[in-house]
Amino acid sequence: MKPSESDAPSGPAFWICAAFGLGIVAFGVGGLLTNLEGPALMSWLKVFAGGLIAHDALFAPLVVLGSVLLARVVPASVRTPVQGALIVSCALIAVAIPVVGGFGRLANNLSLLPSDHYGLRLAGALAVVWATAAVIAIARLRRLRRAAAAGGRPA
Amino acid sequence: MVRVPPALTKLRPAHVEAAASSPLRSERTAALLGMALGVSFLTCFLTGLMSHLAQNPLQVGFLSMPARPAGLYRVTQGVHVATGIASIPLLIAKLWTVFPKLFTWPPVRNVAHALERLSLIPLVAGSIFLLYTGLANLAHWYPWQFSFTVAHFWTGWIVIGALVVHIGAKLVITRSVLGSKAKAKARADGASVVLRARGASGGGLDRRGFLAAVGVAVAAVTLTTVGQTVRPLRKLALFAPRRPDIGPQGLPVNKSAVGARVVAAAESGEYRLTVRGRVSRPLSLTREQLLAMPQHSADLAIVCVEGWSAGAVWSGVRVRDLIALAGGDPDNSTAEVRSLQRRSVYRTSQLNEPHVRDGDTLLALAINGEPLHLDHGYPCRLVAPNRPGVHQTKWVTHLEVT
Repeated sequence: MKPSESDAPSGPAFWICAAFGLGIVAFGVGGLLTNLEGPALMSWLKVFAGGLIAHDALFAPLVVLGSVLLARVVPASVRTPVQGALIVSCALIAVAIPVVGGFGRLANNLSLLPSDHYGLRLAGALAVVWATAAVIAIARLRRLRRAAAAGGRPA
Repeated sequence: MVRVPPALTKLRPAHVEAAASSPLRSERTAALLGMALGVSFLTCFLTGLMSHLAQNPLQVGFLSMPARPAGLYRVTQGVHVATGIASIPLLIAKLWTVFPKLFTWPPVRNVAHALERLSLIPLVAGSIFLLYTGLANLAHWYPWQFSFTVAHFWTGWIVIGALVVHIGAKLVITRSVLGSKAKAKARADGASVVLRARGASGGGLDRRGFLAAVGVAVAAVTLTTVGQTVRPLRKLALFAPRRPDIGPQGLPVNKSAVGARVVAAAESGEYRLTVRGRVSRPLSLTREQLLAMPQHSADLAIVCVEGWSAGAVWSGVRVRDLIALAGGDPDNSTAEVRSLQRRSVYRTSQLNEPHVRDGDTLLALAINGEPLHLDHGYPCRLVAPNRPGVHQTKWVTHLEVT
């Protein structure tokens, strides 16, 4: 995406939204400062900044690196289903982390995290995603091969 | 003049931006994902506000929760959690499309640009914070030292405020890339991309394919979690921390009797339910005396802020009957319900006037015809319509009429 002039906002609509929005932000910050004390506030700051750093400095660069690798390693003909499967897998893994980790498990409450097999479930869900991607990839390859064969035949 | 080695010039942010560029990272993709996130965040914000009001029924005046419709909170809280989960893939995709912009050069063009970029810090950090803490809370995972509800609520305001700034900054560009002319152009581009892709035997996802994959991801995370509140989908709820049919007497529990340290007090022969406050004849009743009173049944759901819900038929004594028996005025009273629990934020809960008045507001003694399990609040618990589960106080021992 090329940086364009439109990257710099302007106009009365922007300034009205900015004033109003920053007012709401200030209200939220005020609420945190009056309701959280010392260690709790520090802990909030750690999670708040930590999420941003984890995304911008770790996850996003890894994805960029992964995409470069993907473009080199995976043949163009099956790249689409592989990318699709990666996107869906990422989402499933993100959502499953707290239950697979079972960090909140309590011995006195068996109805919380009632299954012992969240890891297996994640593996199963990912298997379904990648099997679907494989079926799509095979169908694409066949279609391409057929198209090439038809194109190669003398008229 | 100093000559910069060619390798070093490649380290300029513009080059980083170019290296990370992809035709999928168009303004249009960013705008479409942004619109979807705008809708989901606004939904989360409004349902979250509603939950906040429901948790403080006596401190919000006319905004206090009504007792009817009985299933309102079940729907709004279910939507809150499901929308939050659906936002996770949307946010990851959105941040991916705009990531190269982080390295825009020059980093700041003018005051407005600086303000817009600075507002991205609370927007992005806050969004990640809300989705992460919300998701962790569902599974009772608390790797932090603050109160989840307090931090989640106030950070919600920060994110919505930053979102208003962001929308103001992106109004013009969004209109220009999503308007009718842009739509026609995108369709033409899309067609040529598809043709080119077919000709070159496919070079990966095109814009539409990318959005479709994100859509599938949203559907996948929703289908595998929403069964915690939508009962017919419970068998698909692979990653939900609860299932509405698993728990003592077929109903999940948020806090067990052992966890709340009430086992001895709840099983003791000394147990009494007392009714005091603005009444003329204070009461002190055993569980047997409660069972001897007129019993009433109500089909109500326990709705947890954590997004699970489960219905059951509860039976017991109407709160309004108890207040009347004690010589109070059940039509113009509020009440505080107190538990046997010693230390807990949720040891007590408030009933506003509509809830005291409602005929389905019970001190329940039985669930689906069986005496309450200890984990469901034996000897007696509060059950009322349209109320967060944490305020359906268990192990009730005292009713203070006010």
